[in-house]
Amino acid sequence: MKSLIIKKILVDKKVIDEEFTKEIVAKYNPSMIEEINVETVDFKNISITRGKSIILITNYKGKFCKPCPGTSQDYICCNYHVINETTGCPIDCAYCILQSYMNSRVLTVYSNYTKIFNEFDELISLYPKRLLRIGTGELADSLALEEITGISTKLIPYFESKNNVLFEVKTKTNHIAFLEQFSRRLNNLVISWSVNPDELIDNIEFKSDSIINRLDAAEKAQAMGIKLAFHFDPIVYHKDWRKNYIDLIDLLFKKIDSRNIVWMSLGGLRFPPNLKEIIQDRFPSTSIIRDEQIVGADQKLRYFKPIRLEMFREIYSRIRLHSEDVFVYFCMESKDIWKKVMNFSPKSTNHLDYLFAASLYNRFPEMNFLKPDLQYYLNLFGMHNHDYQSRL
Amino acid sequence: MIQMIEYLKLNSISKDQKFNLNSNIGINALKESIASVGIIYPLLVWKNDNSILLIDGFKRFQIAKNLGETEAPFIFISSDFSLYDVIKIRYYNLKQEDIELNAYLKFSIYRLLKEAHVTNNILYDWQRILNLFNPEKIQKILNWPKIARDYIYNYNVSTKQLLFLLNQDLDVIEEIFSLATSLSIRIVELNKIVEMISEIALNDNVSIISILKKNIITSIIEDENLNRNQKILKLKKVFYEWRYPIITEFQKQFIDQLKMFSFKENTQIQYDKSFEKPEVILSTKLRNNEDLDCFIDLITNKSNIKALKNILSYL
Repeated sequence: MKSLIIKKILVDKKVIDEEFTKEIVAKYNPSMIEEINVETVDFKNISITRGKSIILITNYKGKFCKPCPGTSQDYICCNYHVINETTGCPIDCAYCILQSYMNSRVLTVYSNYTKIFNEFDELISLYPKRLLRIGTGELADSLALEEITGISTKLIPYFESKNNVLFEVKTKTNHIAFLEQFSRRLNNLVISWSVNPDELIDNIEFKSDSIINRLDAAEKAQAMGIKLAFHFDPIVYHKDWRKNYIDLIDLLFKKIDSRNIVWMSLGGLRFPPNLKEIIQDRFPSTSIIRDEQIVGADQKLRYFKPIRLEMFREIYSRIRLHSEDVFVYFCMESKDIWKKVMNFSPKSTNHLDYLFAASLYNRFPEMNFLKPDLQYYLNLFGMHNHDYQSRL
Repeated sequence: MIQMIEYLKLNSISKDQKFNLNSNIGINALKESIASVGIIYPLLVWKNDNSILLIDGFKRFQIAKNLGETEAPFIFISSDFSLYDVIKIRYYNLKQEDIELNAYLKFSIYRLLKEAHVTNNILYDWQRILNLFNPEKIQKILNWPKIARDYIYNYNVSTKQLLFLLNQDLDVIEEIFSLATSLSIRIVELNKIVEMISEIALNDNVSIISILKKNIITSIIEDENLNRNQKILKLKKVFYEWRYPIITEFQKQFIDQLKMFSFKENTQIQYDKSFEKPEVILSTKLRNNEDLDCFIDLITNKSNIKALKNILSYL
């Protein structure tokens, strides 16, 4: 990642003696450390840009593990689970929802992260026959702060001890040096990269690594036997989108063997309307807010359907040119889009969850995943079901 | 130092002042108390030449109003107080509600603060409230032509809307407000139009002025056969089509397909204008057998079936 500059470490008094806190604090000059009472500080007053250079260490009061917030019944979600072990991201993507979503603008890491283990144990006990996909990277880049917090390094051994689980870390960096600490092969780990053409990275994914750096890192991870995933999300409409995405896909498959890719996602740029103003204010020259967007069923701005369809078809068919069996899915798209692009559609969110499991079971027999039972998956609680939410 | 308590009509408080009750802490207890014994502690107000501005007691004021009270006790800040003192009181009573003060009042307060030579910290805090850190921008509004200042004052423009306008050059402001005044366009509508124009300008790399001076625009404004509303509608349509060419073209093609379907007076096709939902709703009113026969004819007619298939292929 380009220029990670941390200017201050704020430590909540309550966690000052925690081992996790001490580890981070030891990496910095004492003049940068400030002990605070987190309840008395208004982090909203800190500008978004400034907040990206401040780390706050505190406790997280809520649940770390949650169903991925698929926000509309009209679009198919994949029943993924997220771990919000960090909130706030030092990378500065113009389209990032965190700009309007977070109460606190500082990079916040949680010293009570071990709660994740109990929460996940509970989750896995609820669904013993289900292949659970869970990952960090929802409210922060999973690896941007890895050198400082070492949080992925701490989580990986726990997930490695589980069966029928894939733990995904999502990044736009090349920060994979931490993998060298693991002497044994990591079976349950998936490292995924959000990918975009360099033209977009340079203009809207500020401070993130170039595509070649990301793919070089992926290539290294591949050599270490790590499973990989790639997210074409957000796919952004721009003048040379067709050529740029085709070149990107060709490059990706030149460097990466599709047999090591567990899944690939496609998702068009989408953001809540109130983010438009923030983007306009912070990145006045960006055109991403001036494309032809409509308000979708999830109340987010997204490209007009014919535009999305054209881009998805092009990208999907190019991926298929390189690999017939890599699992490709849409993130939050309608059945209609699935059918028009892939000629089939999952019947429901649970069905898509099953399709993931079936693909992984068939493509990675060495993983000894449980053979997924379609009926079992279809009968699972939907993630939008309140009973299900309250049991987590 | 404190003046006498006076009972005033609640509606004598400036109507330009907006409050919200986002912070609901203690609001129910306050409501119960006011409902049973009325307002005990007087509200603080400051009277300037034009209006009476509430300085403290927003919640109590709003609750009393909602409860149908017409009067309440008020304390007027002494007229001996300097502007600086008044602002200081206001400043130290700063609450969430202040965010909802209308932009004109905020700017007025900011100007008063500046004139009162308050400390930089206070000015900085107000800049934060205004979300405006560039002093040049603040100066800009003070330099706006009267027509623009009057417009934002009369239409109670929010800070958000104002900030958008502040990003425009002075000649653009003059042009926009002359258009707005000539057609009495509401500020919310005006903002939508200006937003579209500015996005067109950025997408097409042309100036906003050049867009406003296009023949098609001036001809609509000057068209004597159109009333004010028709002109606004037509302008919005022109700007929309310009701003969203792909969507417009798609809609036109879709409507052309719809025209191929021979409707009867009691049959209609509804569709999602954003085209997210891949469906149309074909509905008809059946009052008698004749209507039913007519509808059966309609949907079994070969050219209509073809038209419907074409319509569906567009979704």
